[in-house]
Amino acid sequence: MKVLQVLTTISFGDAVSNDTLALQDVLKEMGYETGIYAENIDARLPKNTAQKIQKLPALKSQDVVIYHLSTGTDLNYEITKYKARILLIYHNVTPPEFLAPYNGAAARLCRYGLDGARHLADKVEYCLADSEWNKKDLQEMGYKCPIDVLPILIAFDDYKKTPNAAVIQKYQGKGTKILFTGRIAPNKCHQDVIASFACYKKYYDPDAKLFLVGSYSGMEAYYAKLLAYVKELGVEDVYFPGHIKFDEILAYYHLADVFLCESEHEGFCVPLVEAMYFDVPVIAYDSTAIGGTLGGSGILMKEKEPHLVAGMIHRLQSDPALREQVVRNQRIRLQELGREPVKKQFEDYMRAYLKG
Amino acid sequence: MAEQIIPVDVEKIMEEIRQEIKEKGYNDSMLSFRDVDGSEQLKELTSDVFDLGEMERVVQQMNMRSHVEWYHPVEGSAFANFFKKVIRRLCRFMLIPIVDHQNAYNSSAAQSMNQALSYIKEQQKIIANLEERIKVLEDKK
Repeated sequence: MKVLQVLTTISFGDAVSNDTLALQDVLKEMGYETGIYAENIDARLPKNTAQKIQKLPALKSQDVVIYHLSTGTDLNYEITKYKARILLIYHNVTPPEFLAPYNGAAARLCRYGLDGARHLADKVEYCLADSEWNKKDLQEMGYKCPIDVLPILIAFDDYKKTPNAAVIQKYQGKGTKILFTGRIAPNKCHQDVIASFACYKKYYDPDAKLFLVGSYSGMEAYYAKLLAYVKELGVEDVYFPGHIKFDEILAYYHLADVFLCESEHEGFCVPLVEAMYFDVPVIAYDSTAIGGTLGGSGILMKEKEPHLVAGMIHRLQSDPALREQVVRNQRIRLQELGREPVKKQFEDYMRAYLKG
Repeated sequence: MAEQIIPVDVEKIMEEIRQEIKEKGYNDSMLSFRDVDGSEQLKELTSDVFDLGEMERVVQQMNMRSHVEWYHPVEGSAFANFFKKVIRRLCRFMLIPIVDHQNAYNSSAAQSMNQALSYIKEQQKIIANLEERIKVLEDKK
């Protein structure tokens, strides 16, 4: 029996691709004949990591296609044409209303993705969702099939690599270092992080630095507005390193004192787990999947008024007991999101699904 | 027994912070993001500003998408499949040379962009070394 994974783009370093690669290892360990098929394959990936979707072999009715849905693509419609059982892994799609003011094409793509997800509602027989939030999203879209929650399988070994020394050398020193990672996109509300930082810098730590790490490609209009916001607020030490190498991302995690997330839409939010891994205490606004990913750890705020968030950063920086408790909780949560427990969960789900 | 998460009483801390904000009079109103106009910055961004990270990203995208497949699997009912396969077979003689030409062009275009990217990176290293040397020499003066 074949258990194949299909997705639109397999790339280097993004959460969906990493999840696919990690699941591939598990499927191999489980003894299935498996493979990854994608419309677009990043040339930096080792040869034969994935094959073009056109190379998908003939499938029998007992074979399984694990389909990763995260964006708008014709595949969302074509996937049901394969004569196999379809298991959907839903990574969520950004609501288009966030993107529409800045990039019409990106908003249309997301709308197409949501239409595709709705189209599949009565066509798949089992779903895995990255979070309870994603599960709820599927149910609201009319999915009646069984849905289980499986956190993203993260390749933690990658984080053991050496961080970029030049970045560390450049920014180490006095001042609280506040970090947020993730592509520059309006659903992530970077403007709220900047506003909170402006308050923190003004009232608590004039030497503080803010690093907003992530690519702004496709969101130039939003990025430009963020730059204008920083300028008009008159706040200094806000850094946008842009699309950077992995060792540089690691360096920012090594530097960070606080991870601040004020995003209003996340299907899982891998950066929260990355911050947990590096023992960076997390302050996050309670929206969508964020509370679920933190799982009771971090500091989850029900509101994000900038003075209040600034006060919370200060509290975390000035109260060692609180900081220790937050980091301790994050370590416990990280164990639940580790490779072994998530792998076991996936194996159990797969066995039950294949038996059914 | 496995360690358990001891929840932080966030609401209590927030209440204390609210009180502190009130006492210290931290009540300046923040500029609304909605009122900001980023058109000037956008103009700068989309003009002649070189961004190596962005170039690397688009070159990677180009590498990923440079090869076009002529063959596309057919799916559907057995009846529809049969006709689609016949059409594919009939068009093959025409499609393959066109796609081959396109792939040859794509490959050259992608290679030249990769070369350009490598050249820029190489030059940046050389410039960084030269700047370092200039700094050392100037410090010696």
